[in-house]
Amino acid sequence: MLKELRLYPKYVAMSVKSSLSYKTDAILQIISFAVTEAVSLATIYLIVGAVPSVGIWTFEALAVLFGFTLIPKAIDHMFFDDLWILAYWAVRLGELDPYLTKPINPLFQFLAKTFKWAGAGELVVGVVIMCIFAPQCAIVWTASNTIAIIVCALLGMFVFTGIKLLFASLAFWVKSSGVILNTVYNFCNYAKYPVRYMGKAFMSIMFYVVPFGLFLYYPVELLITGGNVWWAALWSSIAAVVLITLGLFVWHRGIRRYESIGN
Amino acid sequence: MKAFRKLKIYSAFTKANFLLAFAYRGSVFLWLLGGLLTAVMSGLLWWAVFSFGGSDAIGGFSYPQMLLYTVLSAVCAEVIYCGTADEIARDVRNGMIGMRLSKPISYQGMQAASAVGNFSGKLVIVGIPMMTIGTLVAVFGFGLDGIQWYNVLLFIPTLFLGMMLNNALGFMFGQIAFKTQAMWGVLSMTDLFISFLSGAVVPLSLFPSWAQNILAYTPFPSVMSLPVRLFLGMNSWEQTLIGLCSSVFWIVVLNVLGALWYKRSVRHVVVFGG
Repeated sequence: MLKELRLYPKYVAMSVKSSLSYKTDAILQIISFAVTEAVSLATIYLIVGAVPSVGIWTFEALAVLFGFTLIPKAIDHMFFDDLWILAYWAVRLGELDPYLTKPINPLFQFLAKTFKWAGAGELVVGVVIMCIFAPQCAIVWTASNTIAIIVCALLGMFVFTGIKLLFASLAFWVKSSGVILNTVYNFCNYAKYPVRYMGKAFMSIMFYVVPFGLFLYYPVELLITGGNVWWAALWSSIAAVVLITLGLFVWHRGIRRYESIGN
Repeated sequence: MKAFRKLKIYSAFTKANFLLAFAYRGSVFLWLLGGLLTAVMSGLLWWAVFSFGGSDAIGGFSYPQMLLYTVLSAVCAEVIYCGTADEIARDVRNGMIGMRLSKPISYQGMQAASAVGNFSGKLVIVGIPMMTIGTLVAVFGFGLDGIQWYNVLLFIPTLFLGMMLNNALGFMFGQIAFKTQAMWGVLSMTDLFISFLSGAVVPLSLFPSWAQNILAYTPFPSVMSLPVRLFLGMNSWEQTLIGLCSSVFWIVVLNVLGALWYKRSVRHVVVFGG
């Protein structure tokens, strides 16, 4: 564990340096993510803007919610993006071989090797959107709630990582689980809507079936209504612990089944 | 005679890609499952929006129309997705572009012929079954009316033109691959951009009127909004006719622009090895 911690900054530095050698690429990646998020925000504006107002959710409040959902997703994207590769083709093409030959935890090696600039772009977009719209929403920023919302964002990252690890590791059984992971992952987009006001069925799915409502929507709802955001932090931490544990369990079972390719 | 031989050469790409769609019939099931979940969620979402609006129609759509619009645009997006830009990006990245250039056929023509095959294959394997199910559910489950047989028949060629437009746009955006390695981000951005502006994400009639006016002069509405609205019987004959003419016009213009840009970008090609 100590060895991994010592190695981690070196891995990140290596990845940052190699991606900076293609400067246009890094800039293009950041721009594409910013544009993508702008389009998604416009989508929400058009759908929710078609009706007068949805409970407490004015457009400004929804923009704050939108900005917040980007933050945990962005941090996960920066550090753990290679789980997509595991899901789509690493098992099928036998790309895990090099990591199994070194005396370091293979999962650590696999994840540490990539640092994604695009995620940093997403993070900046999320924070900027929150900073623009939060002052227009009459949010009372108590010290306790401010810390709690940051804690929620960090815990949210672990929930994302847990979900990705869990569904990407299914690839050890089905060879390519990218489509499954993509379907589950994209459910997070529905947490950008006023979940509680979207009818019983929608709300139950987002709170109990896929927990995206719990750790993305709920903290912002509490923040805007002036509730205690630590309740959301509690739920987020439960979701994070459960999903990371499940993810690690499936990964460990899966890597034992891993068979390389070729001769 | 010469034209006929040419057609025969390119039709080989069409046939190959038509058959390729069937090779992935196993993954159709997974795609179906994902599509079904998404349809349920958007159905619930729109239901809530309609109940908050308090009126029967939003942007000229009744609830069953909106439901079928959402399903059809998702299915059509899959059917007309031809991956032209991805193909170019892959060819440039792994050096296949060199092989392609050495053959006495047009790269652009080859891409278009492949797109036609891909379209027909997906239409048969995904499009027609799912659109039939979606329409039956909307008509008998939610009381949708206004579907006419002649509109449904006209829908297929209109969607074909939409696919050709998508292919032409893809060929143009694919040229970016000659300049950068970061194609994954660029492509996901351009895909989303095209689908948003063509009304695949939110119907164009919900856009502010200034945006609708501008979009009317672009190729985007013909990619998705035109065929799906036609299917639902929401277009007048006049609108359909103008839309079809504008599709043809843009297919020609975009392909010419693409050809010019391609001519410039092949000058930059660097391929390792021999």
